[in-house]
Amino acid sequence: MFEEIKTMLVEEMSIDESEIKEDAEFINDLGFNSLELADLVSLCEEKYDVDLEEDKIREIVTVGDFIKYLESLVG
Amino acid sequence: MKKIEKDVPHARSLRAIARYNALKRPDKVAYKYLGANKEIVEVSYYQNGENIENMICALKSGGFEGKRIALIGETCPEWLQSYFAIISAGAVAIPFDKELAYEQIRGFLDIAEAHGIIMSPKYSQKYEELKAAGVFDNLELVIRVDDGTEWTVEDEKLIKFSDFVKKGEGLERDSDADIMRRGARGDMSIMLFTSGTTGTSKCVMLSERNQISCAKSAVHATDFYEHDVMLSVLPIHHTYELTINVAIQSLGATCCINDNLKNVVKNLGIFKPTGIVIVPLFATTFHKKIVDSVKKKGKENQLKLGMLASGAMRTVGLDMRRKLFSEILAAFGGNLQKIICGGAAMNPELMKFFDNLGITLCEGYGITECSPLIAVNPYYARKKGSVGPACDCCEARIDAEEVDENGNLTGEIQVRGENVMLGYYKNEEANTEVFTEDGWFRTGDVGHMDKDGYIYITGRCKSVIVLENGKNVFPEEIEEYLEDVNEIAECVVVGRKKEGGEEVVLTAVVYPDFNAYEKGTEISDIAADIKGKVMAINKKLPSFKQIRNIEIRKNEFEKTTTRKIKRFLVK
Repeated sequence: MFEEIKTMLVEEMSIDESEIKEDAEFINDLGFNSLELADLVSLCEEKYDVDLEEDKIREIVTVGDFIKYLESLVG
Repeated sequence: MKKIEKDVPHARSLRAIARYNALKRPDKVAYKYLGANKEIVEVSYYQNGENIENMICALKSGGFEGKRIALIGETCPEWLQSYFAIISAGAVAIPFDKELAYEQIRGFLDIAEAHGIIMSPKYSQKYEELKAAGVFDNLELVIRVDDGTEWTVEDEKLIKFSDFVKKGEGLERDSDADIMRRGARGDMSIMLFTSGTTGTSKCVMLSERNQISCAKSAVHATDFYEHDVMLSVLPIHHTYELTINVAIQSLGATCCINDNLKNVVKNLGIFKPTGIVIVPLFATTFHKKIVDSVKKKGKENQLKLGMLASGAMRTVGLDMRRKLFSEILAAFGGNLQKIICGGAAMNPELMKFFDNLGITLCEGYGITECSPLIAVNPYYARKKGSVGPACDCCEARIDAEEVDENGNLTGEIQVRGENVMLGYYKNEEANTEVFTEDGWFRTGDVGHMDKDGYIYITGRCKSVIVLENGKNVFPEEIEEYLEDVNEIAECVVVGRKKEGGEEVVLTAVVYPDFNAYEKGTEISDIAADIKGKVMAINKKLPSFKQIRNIEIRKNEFEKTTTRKIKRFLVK
């Protein structure tokens, strides 16, 4: 899953590959804003056919947090 | 671009706007939104007007005239119909932020002495939780907009929106002539809370007249017309979005509703709007997306050359922008021609960038207390870096004390006019502070004005932090949460600009309680411990209020004689 998200971040959101680590924070380290995070959510919802909850997204800080939540839905 | 004179003489009140549209353009689409199966649902101006009239009758016959009713949830036609109806029935509308915590909703309902609440379909799914939290305890009316799902009514004060509207069917209505003749109300019609906690929030009292004056100004200052299709993306409880919505309806244009922040680009493709009203965060994100996608396709030079060529052609009166950049414009639905941007400071270069592509971007400036419009950079005479001259509904002045390094008389921007609020609800101290002796409203923003009256904003003299997404963060509110951490002795929340960017990062400057740690504990360990505790607090807050950065200081903050931290010294 990490590799898939990494590819998505590089290809779709132009994030520098070297910066993408599990403990990288979306806002502080990857320079995301709330709209870009919403964009990533939308991409993942389409790719994995899941529905990510707004309340849960709010609690996400790092790439690892995001993957963990996504994995819990994808199963 | 030439100024096109237009007027909306029927826009004397919210009710007159709705009734006029129902009679003049009954079949025209007022709202479009995505239904449960992502199908496009349309609401005609006739249906919109009927719902409003029926709801006015239902509210009046139910004895709600003069009472106060809160509105909460995602944007939907019924939210707006309720808003129009509540105010037109002589009641008071209280729009709430749907991200408020339940205890705050309850607190605000009590402060506002509310009698009822209306909830949008998605928000209504929280009904059980809200009930358990006691939110409805002191209310007599709870309306749930139908979400298509079956639910049993177990509470006698709970009613479906459609059933409530039905109560008004067949009741005697005011005549159309009366509706059209009557002007907007000058008394308190809208109550708006300025921040997220009952301790720090002020309640702004607006009249219907305040809002109508602003909406009419927006009609004059922007190039929106009856044939326009708008996409509504900002939260509806904001006066900015609300007033623009009133302006759109007074023109008889169509409003499409974006269902979720994550679907903005997708919905631009579905609804193909001609205009959009946004905050700078959207403009910078759109800009970044365009630049990224051009880079990815290796077409950077082509874009540069195209912009140069189209610029040259425009000087000889040939506008090829929309043809040249059709591929880029297609990503925004293909029809997008105008953007209104307000709510926070915008990078002035973006105006030129979008202009080069064939999209007119106009910056506006406002504040909730002014309903909210103060100035708009007019499409027919824009000046880069300015928010434009004061709108028709008000006059602005600079309370100048000093001349800045460029020779501009710089001072606080003050406003007087039909858009200025009635005052803060039951808060005489704040009212005395915010109005000058000669009756001007102090915006708290600092700037200067050029010889044509164009306003340039350069800073703020109030503590409120304005984020790029237009949301206001009141540092005192976040500090209230942080003070619960035992290891924090003192703290001040500030907004730091990211290096080389416009984005504001919420930063907590913390003076730790060193006694809470063992002697000799490294500062880095203290910082890590405090960071962990702040992260836990963040989880309780909406994302825009979350602290993203922590700075530890070794000395106490400097204080006033009354022991208040001198926050202006915290840079």
